[in-house]
Amino acid sequence: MQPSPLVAPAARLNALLGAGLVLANTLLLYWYLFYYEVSENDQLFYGPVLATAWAAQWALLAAGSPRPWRGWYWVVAGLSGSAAGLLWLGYFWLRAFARGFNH
Amino acid sequence: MKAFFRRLNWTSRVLLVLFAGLAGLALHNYFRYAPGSRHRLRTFYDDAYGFPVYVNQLDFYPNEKPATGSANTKVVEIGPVGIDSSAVRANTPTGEWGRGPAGIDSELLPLPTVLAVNYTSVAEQRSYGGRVPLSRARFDSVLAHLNAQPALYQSMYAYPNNEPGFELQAGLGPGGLVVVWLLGEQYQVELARAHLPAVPTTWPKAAGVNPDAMYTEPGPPARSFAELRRQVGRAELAHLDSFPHTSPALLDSLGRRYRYRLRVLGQPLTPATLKASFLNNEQEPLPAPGGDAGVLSRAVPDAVQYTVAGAGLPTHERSTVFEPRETRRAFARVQAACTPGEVPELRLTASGEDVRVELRCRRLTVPLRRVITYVGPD
Repeated sequence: MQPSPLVAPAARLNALLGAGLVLANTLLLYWYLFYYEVSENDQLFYGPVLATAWAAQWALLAAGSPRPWRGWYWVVAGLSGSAAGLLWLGYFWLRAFARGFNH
Repeated sequence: MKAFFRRLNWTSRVLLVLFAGLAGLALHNYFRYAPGSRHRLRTFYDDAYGFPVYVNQLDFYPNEKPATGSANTKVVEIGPVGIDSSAVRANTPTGEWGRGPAGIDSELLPLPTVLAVNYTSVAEQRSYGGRVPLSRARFDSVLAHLNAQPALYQSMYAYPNNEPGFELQAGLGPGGLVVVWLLGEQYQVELARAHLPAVPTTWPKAAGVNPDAMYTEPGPPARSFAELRRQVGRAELAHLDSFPHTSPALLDSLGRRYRYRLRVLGQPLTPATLKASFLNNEQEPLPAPGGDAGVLSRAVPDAVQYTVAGAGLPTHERSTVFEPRETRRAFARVQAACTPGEVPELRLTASGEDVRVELRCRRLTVPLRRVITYVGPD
């Protein structure tokens, strides 16, 4: 008789836990990078950095998740990834063309 | 627990590891944090004229022999050691920090022996540089005083963990004056005082770096006041663009934990004579009022020339051009506040230390602060 595996990876558990971890990680990253006194220059990084981290984690989660979740996670990853791209473009545009007088 | 981890797939494990790492970093950040600890030290300050001083170097060197007689640094004699210096004997051997009855503690640093300074005063358009020797005997007597009065050793504002401590502070004054203090929360004593020699300045840089400056400097003398104003604006831009390089990591440039701060010295100028003349829009100098206060003028001048005589100033004459936007704004505000028929008045006041210019009517007084001052005879 085939011995059944002790516990199989549970799809639902992993998907939900992963989503929670993505949210928690983003919050922790925010705390680490941006919570305490940051200069005005550093504040420009809020958007692009957090969106990039967010997109990367969702993509990772999507790659490792089974069917019903997978599609939705790719959607979220794609959206946040394109947002991150736009934010980086905006960031560099600001740096290049809209700098303050002394910065 | 083991079963739980076995149920996780690789994605969740990676995310969990990431979570642990980030949580560690965030917690570390949380415990390390102290107010102000994330900020760099400012590298530019205002001097006694109200204009910026750019500090290229300000380093306390612990293990260096003080340069004697080099670079023309003149060491000036200083006063008594403490607030209450009755119990102080000079040259009391106290050893390092942390010895003595009060237990002035620290895993402390070796005491610095030399302060190396190089700074540029925009108002004087000059740089000063040199080394200020910090005498060990002076340190020792100060420490003896502190050991005798443990109450002076207090926790300092915005120190990490509210630790008690002292800090070294260097003050830059007009004419290359440098004063070094030891500061506690309730204690201040001068450690050294010196006059630095002027060194070749790097500011303002030669025109040609900035295309705006290239075409305007040197330019023909302005024929109208509007032209002069344009020239001043361009020159200001060009100069701002060519400020000298200042090291951004001044705080730890030696990798040491000295805390130092700059403080501006207000050198009291006792104005013996104050002569003022205004240039109005037609560039006619109005009759010089000569005297100290309450100068009245009908037109709003864009430029003011006045002469201040005072000890310790490199030159006594200053020409002042108000920042045009501020002048206009102030004028509009004052005019709006005037009663009908009232003529706004420009008042020039010489207080003990400075010359203040304000635009006023009966209801409103607007001080003019943003001025461009030229020090010198022309």
